[in-house]
Amino acid sequence: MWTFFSLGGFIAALLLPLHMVVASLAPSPVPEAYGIPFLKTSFSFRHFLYENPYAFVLPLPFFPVEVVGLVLKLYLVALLGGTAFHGLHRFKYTLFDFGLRKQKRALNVVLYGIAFAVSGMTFLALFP
Amino acid sequence: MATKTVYHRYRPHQSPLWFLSNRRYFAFMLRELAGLFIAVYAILIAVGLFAGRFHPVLPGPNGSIDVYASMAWLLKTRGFFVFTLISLAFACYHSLTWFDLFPQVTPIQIRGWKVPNRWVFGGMVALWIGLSLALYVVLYGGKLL
Amino acid sequence: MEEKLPTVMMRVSRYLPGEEKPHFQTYEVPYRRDMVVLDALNHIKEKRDPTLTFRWSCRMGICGSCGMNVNGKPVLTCESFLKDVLRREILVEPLGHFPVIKDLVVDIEDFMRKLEAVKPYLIRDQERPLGAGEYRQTQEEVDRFRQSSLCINCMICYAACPVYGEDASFLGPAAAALAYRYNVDSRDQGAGKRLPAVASATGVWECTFVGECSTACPKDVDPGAAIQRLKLLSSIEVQKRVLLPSILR
Repeated sequence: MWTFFSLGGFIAALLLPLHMVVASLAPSPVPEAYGIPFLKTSFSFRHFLYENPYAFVLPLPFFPVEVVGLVLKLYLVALLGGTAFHGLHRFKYTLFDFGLRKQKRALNVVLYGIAFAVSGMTFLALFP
Repeated sequence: MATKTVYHRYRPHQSPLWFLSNRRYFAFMLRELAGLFIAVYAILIAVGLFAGRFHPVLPGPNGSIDVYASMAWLLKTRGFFVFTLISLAFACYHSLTWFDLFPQVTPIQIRGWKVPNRWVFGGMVALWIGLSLALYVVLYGGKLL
Repeated sequence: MEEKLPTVMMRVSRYLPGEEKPHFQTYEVPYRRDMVVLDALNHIKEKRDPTLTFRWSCRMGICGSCGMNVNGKPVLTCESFLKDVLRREILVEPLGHFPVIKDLVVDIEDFMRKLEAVKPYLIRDQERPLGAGEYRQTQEEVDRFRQSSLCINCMICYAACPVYGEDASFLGPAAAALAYRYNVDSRDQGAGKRLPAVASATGVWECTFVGECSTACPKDVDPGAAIQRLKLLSSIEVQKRVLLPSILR
């Protein structure tokens, strides 16, 4: 579990602040995404891949669209799942500090369960 | 037969508010709290993505609850906007404290020379800002706000 | 007219075995700029109250005996100058997070057991015969464990650690740093034998990297960093054992 915690912490540290701004705070650059209009800036992979002038940075000539899309979807799963793992692992130890050390087993099940659920939900939502 | 006299020891107990006694302890607690805020944010977004795809319906006290509609409403509220701002501040605090801790966990060596922790910190902050800017440019197609 | 010499008030924790809890006693002690807290305690014992009990030995910051909480902070009293801790009443308490035997003397049995538990000696799969000569190490190999070897077992890191303060079964900074010192010593092959103490539920995994142990350490051992590296090394080791069959290891 510590591996998930540290990898998640790395991903969250480097990438989460930007995605928080993009997903929830800045105005939307594109109107459509995954049928989730309420995400202030959600983006469509089609637009991202074909109409984005900076799409040349992606290895499109070398990989099929499906592969790039796959990588980007896995990226989102890692971002959300990793953040959840990291934060909930820390929260578990905070709960220990506040006296819940004896309930370690139960907390493991509940908190890591939520973290796995976050990864699972993101995966199911993005993959067919 | 000799008997051993056992005296009572005084066992001190740590106050549950121990983290208030010291600036560094408090900064530590803030760091842990940052983890919780970003986890909650990730949970909300994941639920939103899932609800948008599968439109689940839960039984509620006054009829059924459309999770997607509830999430759509929630993520447009001013409260969520404020929560995101606070979480963003915590996310940045997480990033900075992480870059500070990382070189202590994994000392970076280049051919026997240990890179000073301060340099690793600076390098990671630069990487963070650089990556964020690059991603922003890619996502917005070069258009800035 | 005789000039009154400067003095300082010391508020010292007193406890007799069997009492319910400690109480404080205040003493007035002459003050000189070059005095340390230990000097003040010795003055009290010699001139004011011979019943005051405390540990000390080298009075120069190397034996690790005189650790106590001064104004709430765990320090070596032989290195703590009165001028740096000046207050209306300087508070001297026994070293935090340990059971108190008498006055400022704490029970260190738990700490001793933990030191033993990490097997703090070189462990070899195969001892080299004497004829093969001494184990040689490069400067780099020595530098890997040098900092962790500076520990004087003063237990100040345990007094600083809020995890140990809440749960005394935690292995603790000094014992973990000691395990790290041997694990990364190129002469040692016993990292696997130390895993039960290090990688258990009460081992390094209880640490949340508050970092106060490294801040408080009077010898700059940096036990905090040592523990995090042990976490990394242990998780790699455990994953290797799970993923690779023993022939490949």
